[in-house]
Amino acid sequence: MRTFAQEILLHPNPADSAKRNDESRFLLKERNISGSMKKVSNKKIIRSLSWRTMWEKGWKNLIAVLAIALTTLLFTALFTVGGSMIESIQEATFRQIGTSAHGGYKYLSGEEYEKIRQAGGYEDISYDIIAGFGASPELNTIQTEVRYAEDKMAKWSFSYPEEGEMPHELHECAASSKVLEALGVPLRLGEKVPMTISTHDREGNERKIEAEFVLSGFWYSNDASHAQEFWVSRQWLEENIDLLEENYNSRMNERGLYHAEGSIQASIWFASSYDIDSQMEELTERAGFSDEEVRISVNWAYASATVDTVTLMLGVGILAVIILSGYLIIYNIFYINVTTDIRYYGLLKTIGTTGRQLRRMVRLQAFMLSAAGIPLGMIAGWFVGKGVLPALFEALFTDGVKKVSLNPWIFAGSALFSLLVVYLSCIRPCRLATGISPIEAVRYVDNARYKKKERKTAKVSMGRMALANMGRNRRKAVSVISSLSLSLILLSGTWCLVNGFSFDQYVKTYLLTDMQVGHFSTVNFAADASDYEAITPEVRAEIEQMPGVEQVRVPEHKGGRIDLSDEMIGKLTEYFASEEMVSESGPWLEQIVEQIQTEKATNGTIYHLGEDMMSYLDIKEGKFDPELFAQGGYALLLVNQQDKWVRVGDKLTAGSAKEALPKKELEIMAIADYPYAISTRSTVIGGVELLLSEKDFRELYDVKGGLYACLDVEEGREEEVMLSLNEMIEQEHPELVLSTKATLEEEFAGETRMFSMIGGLLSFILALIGILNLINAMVTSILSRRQEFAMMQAVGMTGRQLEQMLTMEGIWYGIWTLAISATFGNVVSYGLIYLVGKNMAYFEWHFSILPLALSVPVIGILSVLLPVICYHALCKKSIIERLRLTEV
Amino acid sequence: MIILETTGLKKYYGEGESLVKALDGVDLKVEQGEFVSIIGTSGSGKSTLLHMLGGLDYPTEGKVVVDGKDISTLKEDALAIFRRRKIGFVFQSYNLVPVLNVYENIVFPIQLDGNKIDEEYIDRIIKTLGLESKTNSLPSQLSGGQQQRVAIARALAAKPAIILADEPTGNLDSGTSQDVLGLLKVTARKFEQTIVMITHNEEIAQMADRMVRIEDGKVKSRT
Repeated sequence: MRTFAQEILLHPNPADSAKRNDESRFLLKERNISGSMKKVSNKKIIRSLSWRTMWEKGWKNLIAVLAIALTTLLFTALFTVGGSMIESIQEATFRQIGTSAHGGYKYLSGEEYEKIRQAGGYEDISYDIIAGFGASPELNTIQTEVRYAEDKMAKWSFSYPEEGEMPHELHECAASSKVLEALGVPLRLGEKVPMTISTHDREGNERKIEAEFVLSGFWYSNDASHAQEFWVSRQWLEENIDLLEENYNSRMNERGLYHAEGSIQASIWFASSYDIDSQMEELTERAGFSDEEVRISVNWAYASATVDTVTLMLGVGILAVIILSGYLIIYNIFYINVTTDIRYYGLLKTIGTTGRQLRRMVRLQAFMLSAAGIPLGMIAGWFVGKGVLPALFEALFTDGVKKVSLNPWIFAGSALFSLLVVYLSCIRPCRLATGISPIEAVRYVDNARYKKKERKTAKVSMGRMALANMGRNRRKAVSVISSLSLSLILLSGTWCLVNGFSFDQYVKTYLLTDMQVGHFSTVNFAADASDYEAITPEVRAEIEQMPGVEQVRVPEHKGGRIDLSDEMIGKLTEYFASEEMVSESGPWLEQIVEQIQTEKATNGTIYHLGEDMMSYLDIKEGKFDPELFAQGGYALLLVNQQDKWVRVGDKLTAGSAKEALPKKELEIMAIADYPYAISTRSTVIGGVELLLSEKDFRELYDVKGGLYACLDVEEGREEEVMLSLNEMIEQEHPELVLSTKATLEEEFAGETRMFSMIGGLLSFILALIGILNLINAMVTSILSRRQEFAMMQAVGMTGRQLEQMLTMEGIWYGIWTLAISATFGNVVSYGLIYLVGKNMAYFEWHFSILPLALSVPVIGILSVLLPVICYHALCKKSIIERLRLTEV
Repeated sequence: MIILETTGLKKYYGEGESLVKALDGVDLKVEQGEFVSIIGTSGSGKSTLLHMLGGLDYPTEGKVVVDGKDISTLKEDALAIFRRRKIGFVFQSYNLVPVLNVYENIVFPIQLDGNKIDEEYIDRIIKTLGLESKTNSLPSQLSGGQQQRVAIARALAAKPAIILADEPTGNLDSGTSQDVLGLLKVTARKFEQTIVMITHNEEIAQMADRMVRIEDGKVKSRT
């Protein structure tokens, strides 16, 4: 058997095909006989035949392997970026929910917890016990939960000490930096922490405990979670708090006791996050509880890691492009391979190989090549994921996505998608191999699609002949041209997108006046809740005194509650009940709407602008009457908010019973657009943003400062003012940030860099695929026409003329590619850019032919060079040798 | 007038023990307007001789003079140009360019040379070979005999000094073979062309004016 393989290796040209075919016939017969005797299926022979057919091609397989590897690389890169984004969104959601565990139980007694722990079937379990709530006056604005927790539980709740450790000794405690700062305790281990804790005893009587703890650990809290943790030791808990000893639900129902102090909260991890609902139910059952007895909670972040629609569509779009480009090249390679080998397949068919077996042969070869290409692509993908993407992410995402997710699933997914592409690519070549009749196969010439019967006589020029040659196999030409066009379209799309970002628009969006000083939370969304009074009267005065500053204006904001009448609750319910709203916002929305309905109040952001800034408002609906407005009793609804359940004429009550503040009913006078640059830059689902008159604002709220200071600067003194501002920020107010045209320029560059890098990288790899496809098509078409060329040379075509003709073929590919990219391609890229850009305030469409123009020389050089190289490889054999091939 | 002459023509392949003497000193003279057939068995060296005559390969030793020009010293591209001006080839497997129609195939060598086509002359050839109705057809639409007739027309088109036919009827049935060969002979006469044809078929060879038998790379007998 080895000699057969060697034979093939020694004679890689079709001249030896007769000999080879004889031997393979012999081989088949021999195997078939032994096969039928042993009743063994013929799979083995097909497999070995596929292997040898593929092996015989030698270096020609390289292109197929490279194509598969590049496709896999693209999938890996896409999934890594996508996976990392989903993971970071998920993590942000975990932090909001307060845990990363799959599920858990609330309000358990010690006995109940033990039963669940022993029920097993989960991956990990841990718990905490509620001791009470922080009741020191300094903690009024911060919800502080006092609990004991196991180390694991603390980690899962994102509240594990970064400095020091969890409390072990009686009076030790660990707390978040936010709580400690509020209490005025320096962030140093061993500091004394005075604390008032509000708790309930077993009978539900409220009790206050004054205690002094010693700080054993703390962590930096910089997330959006509502509640802060204050950990105490187990010993302290046991000495001071009554532990829950009965079932919480029955105690609540029978004795009406709601308090949760002394109860255990359990968190559970399963082996997988698949269908956590059922897994929790099964665990409950195993532990011997009914659904009514215990309170199950499921972490819905696992069910709905929602990515916004634009990102999702972009991802799906890129996936489609990769599948298409992968298909185009892999399909073309296999199609050409089968065409080249068609006589061989015809012969196999003559001697009794069935269509099914031939199909299997083609597919097997494809999968053997995948076995080499996919791991290669995954290794390259790993390097890209490890090396390129972290740097990319660093540049792209100022907050949020930092980690690169190199999950094994990403590799499994990429491999699967590549296999899918390979499988799809094989369908047509398989059909060709099986569909051909043996007699046809022997006479098959590479002009399957050349159905023309006649053509008009015209002067024979190398260019026209080249064009006709391209038309001989349209399928091949179409695949190569589409493949090349794809990368050009993407390149010009990226170019137009990046150039469409208008810096002027960007500045208008983020900067209202010459310069702006704001709290850092306005630029760092991962920061703690905003300080709406960061620009205190003192800061304002200091800025006003700076030489060069003409004017300082401070818009004011206040977060407050808005009471809703039953009528308004009705409008809200109706609005949010629509399917679309629910599916877009996920489970958050339901919870929020429910909360608003029960509380009959929602969160609001109340704005106030001085008269001299009112002109920045853009009235969208209704009529704004400044005099009437100034008299009080009216509000403007701001539509930075997307929710549209409040309309002109509706009445809302600013201020809430829960706050010790005055209340006032206000009528919506008009709906206005508020400049994003001086907004809080955050939205509250179901919340309302109102702008009040001077009179009402002062009456209702006690606001002493603002979130921003908007500066008008004397012309020519910008530099000077910037220096003084920076000095002030550095030395006195590190919580403030300065926005100027210069700082925005940097941010802008960062944002556009993301698109140019991703788009550039993608077009580069696609271009590589396109070029590979061109090389393959060129090389194979030249090889299969060896005899034809020899004959033309025999009747007197010079080498130069042949070279010219081949070059013209290459140039035709280039011309077609450019023509398609310039016409159809521009339409497609316009659509693509429109999708991505329409949601960006600072995007302006610019048409540009420049990227195409720039790629002309590249395509030109390639299309001229490739055929010439191929021709010279061809020339190594003399005309006679090549002519003789025909006589076989 | 002698249009073709070889003197001491030798072609050796390989060396040492595996040395093959495909041609071993062939002296041949062909007169203007003559129809010569070269007959020999497979491996006798007749194809090699034809390749030498047509300037498709270089001899190891000796000279080939066509129309007064020694072609054994020409460079490759010069040889190609020589071929399209002086030699008309007719191959066994027709060898037409698949993307060109019949007419374009016929005038292909002339156009390669960038010369003006003698329309009247070409029309006469086409008429003589009975291809009038097929001028716009592509080769894939023609029968074997028709394709070979196109190949003959192509060989004649450039008014070459000599037509070399390599088993021109090898792929045709005997009836068609007779027809095609008859046409070849008649046309050559009409247009005063010289033909050198190689074949292994005695019957075909006898249609020529003169028969040259070749064996083991040497000319054995002439009639």
